Amino acid sequence: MRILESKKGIEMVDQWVELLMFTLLIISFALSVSIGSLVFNYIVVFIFGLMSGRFLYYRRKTFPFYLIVFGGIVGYLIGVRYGSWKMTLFLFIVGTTISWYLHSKRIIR
Amino acid sequence: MTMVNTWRSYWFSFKKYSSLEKKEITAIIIGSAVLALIIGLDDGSPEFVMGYWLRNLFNCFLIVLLALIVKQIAQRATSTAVGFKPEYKPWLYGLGIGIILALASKGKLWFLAPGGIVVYHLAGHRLGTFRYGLNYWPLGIIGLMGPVSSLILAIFFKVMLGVFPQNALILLALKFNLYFAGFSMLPIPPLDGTHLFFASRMVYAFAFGTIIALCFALFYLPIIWALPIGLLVGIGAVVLNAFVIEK
Repeated sequence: MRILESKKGIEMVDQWVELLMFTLLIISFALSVSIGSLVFNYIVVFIFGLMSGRFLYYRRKTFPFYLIVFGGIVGYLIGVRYGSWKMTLFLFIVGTTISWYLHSKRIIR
Repeated sequence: MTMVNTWRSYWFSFKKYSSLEKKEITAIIIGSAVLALIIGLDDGSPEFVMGYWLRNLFNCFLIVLLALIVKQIAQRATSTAVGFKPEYKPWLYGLGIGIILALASKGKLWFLAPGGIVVYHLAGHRLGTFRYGLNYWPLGIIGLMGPVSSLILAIFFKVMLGVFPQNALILLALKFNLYFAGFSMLPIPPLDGTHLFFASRMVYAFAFGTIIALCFALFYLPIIWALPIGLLVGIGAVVLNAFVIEK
């Protein structure tokens, strides 16, 4: 808890959304750059969509989490080397929708 | 006579409260399949041959399933002994991160976090008011049993490797169990290390140092050298924790 008492800690508490969004952007950019195949790219973005669907469903009433996921997908799209960005985005949305639906119907908990 | 009754009572509780439910069996099988995909994505062959890859994947599945079952038995036996009802909870984010990292690195990077154990208080089996309810220390011990069981399994495979040297399957089983023990000790909430982390920071430092050192030492060195090295690193981690981190 020592970090929260310092100036940096206060900044972190104030700006956690931007911080997390930027961190996820960097991580997902590095991830998409490191993927060396079209098929793997589409599988990964679909799984990323499934995970973000679960993440957003449980936090659906809190806006900052949508921003964090937005940062993640933007970072991923910037780094895509194989395949089109439109198809990648489409698969991400499909994954998110499927996951959201499964959670809302309580098929997955 | 008392001892017999104690064992009978324990066995009764174990059978009654520690048997796997249907959703837990499903979670273990799905977790095993995903972990098998993670460790079996790169089968080591220079060219992709479907038949060989699938056979390797099936072998990986059996290795992972064995590790998860042994871990469950160890944790369930411990939780019954301290009077809690255990339940296996899968960690879907952990499985997702594992698959993504494995695909991104073409099977070179393993992230093995299939889930963890949660416990429920058995009110009817706790007599008296002494520490009535859930408390950190028994939970920490239950958590510790996970990585310890993986390490014991790894030691078994290390011994087997001495009998059957150059056996790729046993080598993979050894490697998986060592990785699994290491990952289980991470203090990320659903994993086993978290329970011990919240129970006692000093014991966690010792266990973390010992288990991580053992994971490396058991892979490269004989068992007789690995065990003292693990203990020494564990003591070093306690000293580091006491004089640097918790200063």
